[in-house]
Amino acid sequence: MTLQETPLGGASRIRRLTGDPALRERLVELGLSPGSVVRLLRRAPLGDPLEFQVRGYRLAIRGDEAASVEAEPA
Amino acid sequence: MKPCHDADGAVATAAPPREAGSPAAPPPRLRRVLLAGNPNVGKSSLFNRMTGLHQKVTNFPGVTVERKVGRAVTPAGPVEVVDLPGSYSLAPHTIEERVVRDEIRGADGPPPDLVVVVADATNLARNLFFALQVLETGVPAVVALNCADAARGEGISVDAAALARLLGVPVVPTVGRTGEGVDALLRAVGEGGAVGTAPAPRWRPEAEAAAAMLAGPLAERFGGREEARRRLPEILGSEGRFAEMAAGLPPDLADRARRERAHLAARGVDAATASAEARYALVDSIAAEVVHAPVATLSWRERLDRLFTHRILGTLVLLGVFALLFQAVFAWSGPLMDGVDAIFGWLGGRAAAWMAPGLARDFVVDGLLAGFSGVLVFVPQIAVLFVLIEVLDDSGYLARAAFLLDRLMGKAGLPGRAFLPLVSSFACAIPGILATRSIKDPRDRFATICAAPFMSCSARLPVYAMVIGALFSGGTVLGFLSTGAAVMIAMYLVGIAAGLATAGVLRRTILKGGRSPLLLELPAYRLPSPRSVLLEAGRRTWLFVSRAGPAILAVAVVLWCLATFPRDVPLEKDYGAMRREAAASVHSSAPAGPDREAALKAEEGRIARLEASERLSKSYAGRLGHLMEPVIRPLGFDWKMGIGLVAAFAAREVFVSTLGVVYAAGDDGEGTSLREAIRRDVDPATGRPVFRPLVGLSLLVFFVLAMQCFSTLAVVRRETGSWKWPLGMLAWMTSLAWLASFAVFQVGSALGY
Repeated sequence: MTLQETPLGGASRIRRLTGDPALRERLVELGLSPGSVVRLLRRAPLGDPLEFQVRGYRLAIRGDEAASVEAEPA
Repeated sequence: MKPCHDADGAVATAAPPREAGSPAAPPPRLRRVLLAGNPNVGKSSLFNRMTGLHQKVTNFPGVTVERKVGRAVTPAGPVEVVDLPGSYSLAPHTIEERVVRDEIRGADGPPPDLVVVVADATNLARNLFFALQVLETGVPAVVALNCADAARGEGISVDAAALARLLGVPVVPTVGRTGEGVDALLRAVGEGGAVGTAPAPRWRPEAEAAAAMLAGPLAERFGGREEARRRLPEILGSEGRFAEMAAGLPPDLADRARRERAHLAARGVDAATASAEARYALVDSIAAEVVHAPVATLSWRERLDRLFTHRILGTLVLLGVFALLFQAVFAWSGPLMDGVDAIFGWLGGRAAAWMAPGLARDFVVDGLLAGFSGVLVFVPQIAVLFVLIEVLDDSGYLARAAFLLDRLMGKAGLPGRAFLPLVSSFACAIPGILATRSIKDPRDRFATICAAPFMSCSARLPVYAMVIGALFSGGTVLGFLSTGAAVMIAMYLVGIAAGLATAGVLRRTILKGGRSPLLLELPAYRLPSPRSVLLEAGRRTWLFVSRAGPAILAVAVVLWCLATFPRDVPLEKDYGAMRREAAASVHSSAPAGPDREAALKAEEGRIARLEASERLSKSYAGRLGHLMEPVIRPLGFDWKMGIGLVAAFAAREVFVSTLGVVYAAGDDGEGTSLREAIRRDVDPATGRPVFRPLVGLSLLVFFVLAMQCFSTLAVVRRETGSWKWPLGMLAWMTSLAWLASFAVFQVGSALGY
């Protein structure tokens, strides 16, 4: 599954990033490194973007970006 | 928000302090200290605390990235402090981050003497990532563990001494908002910091192997293994940066690096992220030793988040915030603006009393002072707007608003962040355009800049008010809304629609390209520091005055000349004779006394207005109005409105006062006589009123859409770095305005309005 499909409130462990290289690098720099655990806190009222808890802070990314991050339930 | 506990002034030192400069040979320049860190860590308030009011703002060479420089006094003497833009990584993804990397490395000059890395104690992991990158460059550093109070409030404890030991640099707990720990930080800065001793991040074995293959030749190229190791992330990092790096390498070495990258990719190692992953592994091990955080509970922060991002309540709060901004800009700033007006009225009166009547006095009173007041009358409004924006930004609310609006703004191809510049543009497009600096993607930023001038700014309001007051008073729409209010709302909506459509078209054509990804940090809520808010708002207000002021003043003076010259035109009436006749008639009809004085004064005023009106219609501005008439006739405008349109280029609201002169209407402060004059004006050819409601509507539409503001164009030129954008904007907005007014007038006329 990808981060876009994470259930609300559910914790996911990141497995692999599949976006373009610059986006992959930035996402890892922001803390979404393979092996780390993130939690989907909420979706914006219009369904997008998504707010995640990442390494103790909150990061919002769009569904498109979230779909480029493969994860598994943690 | 929890109160601050004791000011923890202790500096956790890892290495003995370095000598702060030998007293025998004083350094020829101030030592340069850079302040670096992630966005939203309170870096700027710390900067303000360290430097007080000794700061100035310029741009980094060649880019519109603000460079804030200040002077701080440490126990070892004064230093120069540079506040770098907030940055998530030294591997740059934005122009700001490139500037930060180059400054820290000393790419364009001598390297800094010290870097203060500001890290947020409530969110240490991500902050340590950046701190480690800075330390890896080998520059002497100090870590400011900021937001120490918030960390304590959330029950997070960070062992500063252990962190200092692991990093090898002094670590000082600080609270930028209150100034706690700043003295200790200045002491540490005075002592010169230390070079970090943390181990280098350990890459995955495959990447380490590749690094080992490249280490030898790279060491030769960069003079030393350590320096070579520092360059490796760029070689094994993302494609873009590798391309940049490879261009500076000898061809054989670049080829070798390329082979190693391909090799890694074949073994499933992501070259783009290998370096960042390795650094996080190190960060996690450090954080595990020094951070003790409680299990997260449902904090007040989470409750606020639920409210602000709630489908219905969050939208209501957002509308409330908009209402507050509007109220502040249009109502609360009123008294201050009246004050500015009164000051200039008084100055004009003094000048008129002191100087002999004539051209010089007219120039000072109607040209120069009117021009200055045209700049300064907007300052209270803009200052109030900036204060509110700073408060919203510092408190963390703006990020939530961007989160709410991202999807909606996306329909116009804009990021959620673009909403604030656009909302600011309802006060004035210039602060709005300056606020687009927070948008990183240049395509998003330029599209937002082009949408901003369509928002109905406060200089348009007097025009709306005059036209609506004269032509659309009375009657209701939908049973409850007065016609005037409905027309006003419609004008705002037309502007918003045209602005967003313009942005949308640009993002699909000239500024084509996918939306840049949204990576929006939702920072913790903080009480804004009044000191920082006022400093920053003051700075931005000054930016407005210095950017827009000269343009507004220059145009005001030019337009005064156009409206005043030539002086020696033959006039149709002999105003001297009229004055004499009027005086004689008053003298014969009224007995001597205050009544006669008042009657004389009224007559004198009436004749002076008639003369001014005729002189204006024969001036260069008047001739331009006549010249323009064939072009604006299809929109329903006559030459009188043409003169107003020319004058409106100084500032749109000048349209109203210019029409006042054209119609020889007295200034009774309420504009009633101008409204009356406008309603009475009849076209001699058709016998119909010149200002029919349809003409008013066409005029309003023109004012919503047309680019009539030279200062906006001047600011767009500065912000985009070329004349291409402002000229394109002028052409597009003027054509759009003409076409829209044409459509309104022609369709309306055909329907018999």
